[in-house]
Amino acid sequence: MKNFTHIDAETLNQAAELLSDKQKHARLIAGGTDLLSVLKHKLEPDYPDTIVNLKTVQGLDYIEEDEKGLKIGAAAKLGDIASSPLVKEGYNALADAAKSVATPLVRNLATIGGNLCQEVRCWYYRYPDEIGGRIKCLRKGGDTCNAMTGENRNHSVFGARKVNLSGCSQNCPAHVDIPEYLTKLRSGDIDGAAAILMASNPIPAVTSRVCTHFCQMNCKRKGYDENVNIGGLERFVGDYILKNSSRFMAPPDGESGKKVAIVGSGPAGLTAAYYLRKQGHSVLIYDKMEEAGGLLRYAIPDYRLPKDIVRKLIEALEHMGIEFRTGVEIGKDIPVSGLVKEFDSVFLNTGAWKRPLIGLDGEEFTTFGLDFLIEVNRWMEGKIGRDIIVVGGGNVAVDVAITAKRMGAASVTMACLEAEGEMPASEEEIGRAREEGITILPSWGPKEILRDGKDIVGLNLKRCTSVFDEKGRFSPVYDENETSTLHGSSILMAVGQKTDLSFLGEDMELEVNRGLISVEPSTMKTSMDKVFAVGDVTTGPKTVVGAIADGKKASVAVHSFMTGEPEGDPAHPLGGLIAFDASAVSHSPCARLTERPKEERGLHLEDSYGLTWEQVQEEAKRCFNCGCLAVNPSDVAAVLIAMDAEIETTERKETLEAMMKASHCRLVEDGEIVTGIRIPAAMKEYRVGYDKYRVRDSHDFAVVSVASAYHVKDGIVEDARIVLGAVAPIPLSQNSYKIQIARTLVRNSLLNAK
Amino acid sequence: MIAFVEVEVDTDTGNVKIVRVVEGTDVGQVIDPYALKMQLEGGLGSCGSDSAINEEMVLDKDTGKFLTSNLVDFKWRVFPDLPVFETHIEETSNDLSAFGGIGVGEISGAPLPGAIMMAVSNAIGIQLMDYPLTPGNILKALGKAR
Repeated sequence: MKNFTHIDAETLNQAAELLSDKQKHARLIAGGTDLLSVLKHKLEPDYPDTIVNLKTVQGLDYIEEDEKGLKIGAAAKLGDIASSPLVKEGYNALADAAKSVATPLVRNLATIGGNLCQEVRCWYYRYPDEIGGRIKCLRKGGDTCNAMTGENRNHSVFGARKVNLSGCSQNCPAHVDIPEYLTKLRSGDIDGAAAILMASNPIPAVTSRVCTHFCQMNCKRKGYDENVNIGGLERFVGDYILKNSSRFMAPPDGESGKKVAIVGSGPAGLTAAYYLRKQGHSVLIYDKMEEAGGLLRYAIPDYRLPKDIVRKLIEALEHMGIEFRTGVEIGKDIPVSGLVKEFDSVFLNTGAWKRPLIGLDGEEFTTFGLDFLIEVNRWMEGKIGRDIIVVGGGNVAVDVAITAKRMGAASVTMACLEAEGEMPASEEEIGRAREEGITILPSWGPKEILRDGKDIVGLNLKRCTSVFDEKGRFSPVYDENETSTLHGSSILMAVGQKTDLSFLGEDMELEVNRGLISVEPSTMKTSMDKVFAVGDVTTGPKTVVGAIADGKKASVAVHSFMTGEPEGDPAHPLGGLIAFDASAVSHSPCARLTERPKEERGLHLEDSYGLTWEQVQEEAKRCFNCGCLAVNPSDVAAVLIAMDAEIETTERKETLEAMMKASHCRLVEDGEIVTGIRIPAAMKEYRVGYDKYRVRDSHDFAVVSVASAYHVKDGIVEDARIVLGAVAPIPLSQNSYKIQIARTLVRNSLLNAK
Repeated sequence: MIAFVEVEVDTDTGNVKIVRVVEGTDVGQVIDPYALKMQLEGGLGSCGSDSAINEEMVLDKDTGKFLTSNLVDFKWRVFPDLPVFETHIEETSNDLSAFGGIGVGEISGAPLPGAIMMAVSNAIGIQLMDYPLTPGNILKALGKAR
């Protein structure tokens, strides 16, 4: 064990204060029978510096009865409860439950409060650090519940509780609560699913089609069979939202009187506009192009994101009351400083559309890939030539390559610095490119442009041996001796995009860093008052979903800035019981979007079709709804809930049942201390029993336990409260035998009540 | 070394209870009677009956870790859980070794698991072939669990 300070608390207030003091990094010790093994085996990543002793607080160990019922102090020992004549006389089942806990040695020290708050007994959670490293499960801040697909016959593995964001949500930059909306889909509630999705991402029809799907990459099914097709499910809900936009994107009830100007109508700005408009602010979006949407409208090809989806989205936003002024270039037609004077806050969302130069001789004869896409999407005929070389490995490079191929190039070859597995483009896009006959050459960098006067004839490549250094920074290393030559008549450069801050003008003194506007990460505030910035102009080219996440964050900060209201907590509420479908673990192949046959694919028709409602419901069943499968192992809790007991802490007083249903990682919050239990006197009229089935009666935890309270009158059971311990509402494959044992115990409890 | 065992199987919960255990062996010349009794009962109790009914090392394939890493998760019985043993020790003098003693130790754990397996199979009418005979495995054999 490691060194810690031990403080004997004299009062509850003192203890609570010490626990809430973050500097002290303290844990509470009562009997200590559970805490000491948690500390010894270093089960948790952080070890407390201070242990606060509750045993020295007087008057917490009472066992008394009054006219309202039985009351027990949180520090009363289990051994004392088990042998107390008061408890045995009127509330015998509690004595039985207390007596059944562990061994006499433990019962002499352990307290009822500690028993209720004890950590789960899951053998993944409890794996000792000293024999190979503790297991970082969902409960410890990780993203996997090992028991879901692992060894789950263990007595304390059951139920499901949301203790942490699931792996998919953790990986999503916008932290969309994916399992939550899939639960709604399983129950047929598409409106409910849409509401949850829109709380984090208001444009799912777009993201489902263009996102890299970070969620799918971290789906916990991936290691088991195939990830859930979250993108396909999102597309169904996204299209539904656009079809019913009058409901989901309705104008606000009132006007706040505040005005916001947004420069640039890309996804970050559109997201911020949606959230701000919903709160009644007046929003005006400027864009220098003729139509709104930014790269969504002008760069991403039609076959990936049909333009009428972007148009429908803009229309829906306009119906909310958001005003768009396109064809207006801020910095030229109106100075930014003018906007800052006129509006209550200004968002800069100009993106990254400028071409970066990498310093190759003859680079001026190459074509910026993004310009190429924009030109194609304006349906201008470009002079592209027969053999095309594309330099780059991200989604833009793939878009450029596929567009060139579909426009009739004889051959298209992509060369990128990254190795195959490191390419930033998504797996689906790389697969699509290969399928259409595009050659991909990973680990090659441009060495020299070959030309004949003004005409490009080819590109010399040199081997790239590594792209990132040990710290993960972009620092490519080449082998100049290994070269290769590509022949081609056009070279399209898709190696990134730069921002263009010239629109800011002379009189805006904004802090910038290497061409990017500097912002405070959680609020998107710039160095100037009233001015915020979001999207690629702050990060360099990144992802649509990252821009959406920033847009939402900024809208929360701006709303608070303009109205003076305190900032809401954007984090998702955790806790509560969750469910998954009983067939989840066995429901194997993932639903795939049907693809248009290769011969039919072109530039203006969408490549893939969406899922049907039946497919959506079946696919939603595959979601594990990653939660912690281990729940509170307290035997005493089962009896107390059957007896409808109340629990009192330093902060609240409610039924134990309500508190347990709402809790997530721990029964009580940080700094909160259990002070006592109260059992209503009415329970004396009930026949209360406790039965615990376990492997070794001398000391084991329950395999199944049943606490029952029956109110019997004239041979008829008028009221029954049955609480099962250690069993799953959704039995997993290895512990379904417990259903049989549970049935037996419940039947026995009824027979014993006669 | 012989062991006889009588068991009771609860077909509702899959619980196996040892009702009576009788073991016996001829050890040649007895040298230390108490140590001998302890060896026979110890080998029979933990090594023998626990192998049949509760012991199991569970390996998690994803992390490569043994989840039964302590004596609470690895099920072996402690004194209050053990049944009463009846040991019969036969003593036959011989000249097979210096003092006529024939070793006793590991051998005592050998016969009981098989005896228990046979008794449980006899009780439920289904031939079982794998240890341990946990409630889950017995209920599965009875068709009461998947």
